[in-house]
Amino acid sequence: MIDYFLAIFPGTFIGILTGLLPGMSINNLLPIFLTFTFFKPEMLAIFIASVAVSQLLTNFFPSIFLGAPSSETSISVLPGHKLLLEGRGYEALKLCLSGAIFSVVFSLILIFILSSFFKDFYYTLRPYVFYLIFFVSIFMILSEKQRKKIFFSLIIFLLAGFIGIIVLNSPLSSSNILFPMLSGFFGLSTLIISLKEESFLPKQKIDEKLKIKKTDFVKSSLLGSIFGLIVGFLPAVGVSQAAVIAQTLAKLGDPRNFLVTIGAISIANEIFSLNSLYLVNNPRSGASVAIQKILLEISFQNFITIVASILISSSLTTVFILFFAKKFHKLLLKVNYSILNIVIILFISSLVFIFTSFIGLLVFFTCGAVGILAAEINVRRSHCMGCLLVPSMIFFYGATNSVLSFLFS
Amino acid sequence: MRKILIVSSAIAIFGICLLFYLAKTSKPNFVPLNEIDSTYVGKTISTSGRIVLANYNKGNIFLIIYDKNSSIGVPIFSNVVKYLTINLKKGQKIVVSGIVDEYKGKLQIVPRKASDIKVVE
Repeated sequence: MIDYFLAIFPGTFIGILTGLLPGMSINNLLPIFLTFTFFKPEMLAIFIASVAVSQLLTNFFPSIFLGAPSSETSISVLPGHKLLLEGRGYEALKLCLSGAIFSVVFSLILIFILSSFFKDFYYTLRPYVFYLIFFVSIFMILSEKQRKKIFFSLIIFLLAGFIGIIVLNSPLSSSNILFPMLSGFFGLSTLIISLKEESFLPKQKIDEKLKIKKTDFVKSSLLGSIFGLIVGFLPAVGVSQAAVIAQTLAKLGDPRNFLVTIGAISIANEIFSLNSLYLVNNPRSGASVAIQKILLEISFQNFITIVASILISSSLTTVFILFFAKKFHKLLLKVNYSILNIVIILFISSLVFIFTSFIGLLVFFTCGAVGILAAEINVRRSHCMGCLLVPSMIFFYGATNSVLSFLFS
Repeated sequence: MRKILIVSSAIAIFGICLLFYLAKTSKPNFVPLNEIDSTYVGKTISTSGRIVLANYNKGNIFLIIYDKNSSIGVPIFSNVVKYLTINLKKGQKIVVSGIVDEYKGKLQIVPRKASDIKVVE
């Protein structure tokens, strides 16, 4: 028993440290973890699961408080920053984390009920994913209501989609390329707009009570859990696309509901990915590929221990990050917000360069410019999610090869 | 027109054109066959392996290539096959570029043009 904690505690600690660095993906660390031969195979799998979960949850902190997201949490920047500028950054963080913790429970219940249907479910669902993404995209654009805004949002959606195809499907694609793309669209644009508008950071209210109805919280968390599990099945669909689909279908206009849903989707997707080897005999993330290499086959006992480590690690991370946020917000008030924004832009640019070189920097600034353009022509920046929705649509339509041949031959 | 609007439009257009040019002229990253997993689905990559199965069927060729205890399917469809100048057979070592796809739960790499397949041994 004590062995388990000797894997969970250091895993959670490393997950928290690396989660504070936007862009640091667990995939960058896996080659190092696989050399940790001092762990027994099962312990190493638990260690990796703990790092993955705690890193994911910690990512919400820089995303909301600094506008510096990683690829998994990029979509939380917009509602998170809105609440931060209202002095409710702590609440935004707590909404994401609470949604995630509830989702751990919901997801496990859903997994236990539905586990025997998962394999068939994937083949049944796949032919309809194109239509789902297509209609969600149309609905998202039409939700702007005014004709001029609909036209502009379509332009932004298609521009972002074109960038998405170039960045994700062409030879420029690399393992970390999502980071500069999503950080550009949602992080860089937010920071530059804050600088331009000379926004200041108001005193943050540390209110433990969440300003959301209990029914809305449960609904958003459950919805997030379901969508997180669904995208866990599907290749070429990630957390951000799922968040946009859930937001559009369930009309989650309120930033609080949306933050709960994002937290829930992220953790449900991670739980499914980590256990995909057991549930559908197919690894669905870098971490699950590593677990496959370590354990070769996942037994029911392995599944239970990984699930238990996820529960413990996510609880520990939530407690620590909320404690850290309480201390950190005081520090934020002492620094000039404009200077802080410039420092963060330089910091993210350096990380982009380290992880993805010059191509990443080009992607980062181009996407940042499109994000600013969206804000300047007064349409929602969430249309930039076209960068993921368009490539996914083309993939599920089975036209990726034709589109690439047309564009690049 | 606001200055920031002009600057962001100019950067966006310039950036997109440059990215497009780079994508058109770059070669895909080489990924060893045993490192290809579902996270590569939808991406254009290059890999190599020895042909362990070559099945010619209705103008299409279905290969399975193998390297370092891993294998992957390489479906070459008739629109590509008609431009192939090489005869692909079991035992040859090939380098193939293409998009990673998933078919019936298994990964495959789908070449777009005849020059995406090269026999190296």
